[in-house]
Amino acid sequence: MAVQQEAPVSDERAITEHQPVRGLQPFGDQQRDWLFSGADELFRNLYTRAGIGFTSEVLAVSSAIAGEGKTTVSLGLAVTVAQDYPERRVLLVETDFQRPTLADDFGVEPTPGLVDCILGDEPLELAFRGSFLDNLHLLPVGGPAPGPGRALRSTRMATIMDSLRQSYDLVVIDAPSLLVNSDSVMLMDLADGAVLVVRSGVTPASMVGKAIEQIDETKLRGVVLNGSRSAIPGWLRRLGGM
Amino acid sequence: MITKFLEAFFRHKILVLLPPLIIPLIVGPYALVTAPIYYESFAGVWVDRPTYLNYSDSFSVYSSPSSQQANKLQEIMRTRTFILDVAKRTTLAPLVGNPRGEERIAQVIGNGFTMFPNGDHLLVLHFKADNPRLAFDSLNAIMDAFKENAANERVNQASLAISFYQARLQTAQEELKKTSASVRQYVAANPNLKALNPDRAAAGDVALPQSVTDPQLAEMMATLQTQQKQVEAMTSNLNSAQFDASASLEGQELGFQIIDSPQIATAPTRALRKQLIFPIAGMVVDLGISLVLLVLLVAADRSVRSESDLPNGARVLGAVPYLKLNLRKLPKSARRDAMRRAVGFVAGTALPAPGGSK
Repeated sequence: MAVQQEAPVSDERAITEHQPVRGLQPFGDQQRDWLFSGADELFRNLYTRAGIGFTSEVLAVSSAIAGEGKTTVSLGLAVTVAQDYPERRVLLVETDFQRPTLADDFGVEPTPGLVDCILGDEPLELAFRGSFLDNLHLLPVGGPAPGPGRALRSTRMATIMDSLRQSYDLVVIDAPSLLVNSDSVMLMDLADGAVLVVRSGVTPASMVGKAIEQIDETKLRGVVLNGSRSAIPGWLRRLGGM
Repeated sequence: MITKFLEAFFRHKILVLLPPLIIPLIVGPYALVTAPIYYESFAGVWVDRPTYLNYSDSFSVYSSPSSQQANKLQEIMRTRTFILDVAKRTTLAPLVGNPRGEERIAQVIGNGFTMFPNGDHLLVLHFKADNPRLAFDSLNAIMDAFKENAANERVNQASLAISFYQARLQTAQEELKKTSASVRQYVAANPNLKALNPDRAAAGDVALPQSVTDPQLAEMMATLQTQQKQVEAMTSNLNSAQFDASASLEGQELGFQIIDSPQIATAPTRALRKQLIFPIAGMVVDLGISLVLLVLLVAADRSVRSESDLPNGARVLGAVPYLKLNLRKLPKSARRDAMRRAVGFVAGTALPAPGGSK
């Protein structure tokens, strides 16, 4: 705990000045498009219905069990909001210590990351990574941590969260699964809103129910059905009006 | 609910449809290979309406001769006597007299024989049996027995008719004889009528002035004439019956002519049609199993697929569809993350992230 308290916490100005600190350099005017059509509209629809993007807030994205697509949805929401609102600063925070993917996906250094800032003495501004979108930053989980569970539960984590809330217009937290990792509940408490990702046709309704029970009712913006697809052929759906 | 069933059906279509497809494919060839073999003999018979006596009105003019004969043969085939008669003419003869043997005979002949009219006059007879000799003999025996049966029936009918008319004629002749004797006695007793010949008077060819004046004689003469006419009518009917009987017996040969005589089968035939019931039954049973399976799949599926499946009244913000990404271009290790990388491609560097479509 002593180590956590000693680690410096960057204020809003420090973060702004240092961005992008490490990682990708924007391509300038070069525009990168979605690799599949309709993806932007899809996530735009999600954040609109969730009421994201109008005020500064911290949004936690979680699921009942692992492998339901939390990171995909978090990423999609963060990228779309950053694209749609170039003047708004968006941060995607990775908190899954067990399966970190952000650094690999974006081709950036995995450390220092969130856990290094909480448990170590790394300044927070060094943990941010840039992206091809000027206003989208990433915070990989970093590590490896000796006791990652303790990191998320520390008071330092709450302090960092406050700092991020002040520095960014939207902070998207890619939280661990609610029924797998109890730290996720703590992250939900720190966030202003929560979105639950459910793998369509996979996650049992009972587990979804248990996960929803662990989220503050006022914070839950809704559920995103991921991997949703109907096995019924299109012509039959059109014929039956399904 | 229908949507759930359809979803489950199309999601597990291979599982659901496999039994009704696979089982008949397994059962079908097995049933066909193990189908019992038999030998068939055919005969084509040209038939005409049975030339019964005139007194028989049992046949409708609206049905064809072949269907009439077929009906008659079909009826007679149901009798034990006829079946045993047929069996005695074949290699099944040793079985006659033994209850179990007769059961076997009824089974072999009852199941083996079929017929169908093929046109107004052509009747096709068909017999199948375990060996070619039995099929050939049985068919011949059936035809012979049927012909004999028909001939006997005609003889019996003719005899019955002839004896009936003979009895009636005899009665009429006796009555005529009595009346004639009474007239003679009356004439003998009356001297005024001695010139009268009762026999000629009965024939009505003699003028009888005396009878006109004698009412009793006139009545007796009228009775005599009536009875004489009855005797003549009976004689005519008897002659006609005797003629019809002989004509009927002679016409029998023409009314049942074997056009295609039976042949001994040289090659066996498989009872394929009967065996088809097994794959069809298999398919029907499997369809039932598939239906039960479908119900179980629907009942066992507790996963969330739509807003209505969500507990606690949670609302759905939206659905991220399953994307069919072209994963073949990716190494196997990268396929699991392909969707996420495709989403993050706008802001990230991680490549390759394949394109896809909804």
